[in-house]
Amino acid sequence: MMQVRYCPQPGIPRCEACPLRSLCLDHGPPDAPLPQVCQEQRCVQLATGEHLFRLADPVDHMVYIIRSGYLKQYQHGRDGCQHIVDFPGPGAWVGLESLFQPQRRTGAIALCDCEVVIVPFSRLSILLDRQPQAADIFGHLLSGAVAQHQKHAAMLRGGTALQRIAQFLLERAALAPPGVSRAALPMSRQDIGDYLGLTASTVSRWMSELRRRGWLTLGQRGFSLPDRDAVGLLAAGVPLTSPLAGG
Amino acid sequence: MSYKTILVHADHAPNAAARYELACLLAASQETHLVGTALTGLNLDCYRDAIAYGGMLSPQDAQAIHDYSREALAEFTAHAQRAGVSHEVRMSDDDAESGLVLQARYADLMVLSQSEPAAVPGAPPAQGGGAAAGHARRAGGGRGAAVAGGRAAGRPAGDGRLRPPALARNRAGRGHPARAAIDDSSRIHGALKKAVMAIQSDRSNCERCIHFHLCRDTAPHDQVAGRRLRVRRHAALYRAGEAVGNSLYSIRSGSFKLVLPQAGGGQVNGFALAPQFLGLNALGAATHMFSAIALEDSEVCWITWDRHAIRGRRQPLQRSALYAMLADEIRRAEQAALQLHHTQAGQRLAELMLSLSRTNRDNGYSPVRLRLPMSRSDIASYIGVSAECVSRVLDRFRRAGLVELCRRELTLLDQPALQQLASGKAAA
Repeated sequence: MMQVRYCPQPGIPRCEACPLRSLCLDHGPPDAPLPQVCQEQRCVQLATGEHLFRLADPVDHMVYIIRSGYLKQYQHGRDGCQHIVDFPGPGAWVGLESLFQPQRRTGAIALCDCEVVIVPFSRLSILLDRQPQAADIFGHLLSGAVAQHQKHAAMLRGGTALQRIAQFLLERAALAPPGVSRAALPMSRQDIGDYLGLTASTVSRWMSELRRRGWLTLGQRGFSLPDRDAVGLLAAGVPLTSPLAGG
Repeated sequence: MSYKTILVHADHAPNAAARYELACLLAASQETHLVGTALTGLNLDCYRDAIAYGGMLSPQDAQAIHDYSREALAEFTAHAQRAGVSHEVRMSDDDAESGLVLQARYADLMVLSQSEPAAVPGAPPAQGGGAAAGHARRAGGGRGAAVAGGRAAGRPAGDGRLRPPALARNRAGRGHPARAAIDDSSRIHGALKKAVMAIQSDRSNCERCIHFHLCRDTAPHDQVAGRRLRVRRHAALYRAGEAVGNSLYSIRSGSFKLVLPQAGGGQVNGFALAPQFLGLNALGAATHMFSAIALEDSEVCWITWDRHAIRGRRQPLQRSALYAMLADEIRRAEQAALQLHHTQAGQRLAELMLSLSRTNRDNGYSPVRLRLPMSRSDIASYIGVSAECVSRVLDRFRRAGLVELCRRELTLLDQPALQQLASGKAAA
């Protein structure tokens, strides 16, 4: 069962860990009364494999923001297979596409232990009404989600298996905090395959080929790209010359 | 059957008087309201061409052109008064063909004359027409300038054989390879950005726009928070890499494809048909990710997203409706990506047809009869196969009795079978 507790947590200075920080301009003095949007924030802990919400769940008019950990958002294709829509990570907003909808169109499962903040959308809209700048930023956030799915589609549309994998690795690497070479890879090969429209074995084969060439280092649920330029060329569609070409 | 409204074209052609007589006669016998309409020829293209090649028509020139039309209307009024029928006059800034066609929709009968090419241009006023033509010449020559000048000077008189130069030019251009047209479009685009008109809700049919709830009451008076742009076929509304500049576009008519630039030509990443929005993926982004290329002559409302401008722009669209629209767009994009997990061309094509059908239905059109404004190669690029493959699969669908395709008119004959096909359960 999901454990729900109130947030902000005692002991952490106000606004310090607030996920709405980028949106909210109410950085008042520490002893000022908390705005309502802060008072009604909840925090849930998800264990690996637990659902945040399921496919076709009724929408509860909540917005979810990941504080730590990774989720996978999936949908079932017409053929019954799992298709991955996205792998939201820390700081990502989840469930925006379901705003104003009766039912969830995707399900979201924790890939590792996660902490997720829940904000009632009604409270959020009060904040947005009060601060035009916050409204703009929220609009940009939604717009960014559109662009991200379109980028995903573009990746699926063109390019070979290797190209897609290279693009995927670069994209994940770009999400790592600046100055850190190691990026998280919390998902399984099967999940990557379901995200890229490939089979798990194809993903494994190409990843080990990249590792054999020293362009990719795999670790415990993480990876780094020692030769980012080479992977960049692959992502742009430059073919890999021997010995596994065509594999 | 009685006619309630009769429309009559007013101009300076020699046979205009006979035309008015006939219209008055008809009106008197039927107790009909008579509308005399004069078209100045100053349509949007005229402004656009003038800007593209330098400068606008001077107010004096525009005044002269308007006076010229007003004279024709005075002539009509005299006739109508003599016949003693109820009448009104109308003058619009448009070319004769599109203006009359538009206004004919609101009349029961339209009275026109046959063309008399030898007699036509009917001596435009030396001062007005001459000034306009001279202005166009000064503006730097070239085809566009000649069009602007020619239209302003002589065209308003042409009744009967109604073919403004812009239309003729369009026909001629149809044979050109698309690529040349696209290369040409950056220049057109530059001009477009300026050739815009403020929208007044009472004049621009805004009440009929399904997105009117977004714009209503967002700007003072009758203005709504946008401007209107016309985009020619194959021209770009915006290009990948261009600054977004707080712009959002609502397609009023026509359709666009979204193209991701790539080494070997672009990859078509989506289609947007009226009344969808363009630019929803770029709010707050620095540059556009895709180019939006018109698949046919199209018209868009250009909504500027500038909080710091005048009061009306502070909230250019109703906020919650905008969020709903964005959420909708996220789902659409998500769906488009998921569709690509299907591996077979037939599956993807069936899915595309079904999604177009869904969009049509959501917009209140027929879910069965669709128009495909995009070419086969656009479809091929969109679903990630070759153009030959698209033709082959379409042919297979047709032979299996799933669809009927006549040029660009697509009829879905067997939707359940298409659903089956899209789910990969049946082979076509």
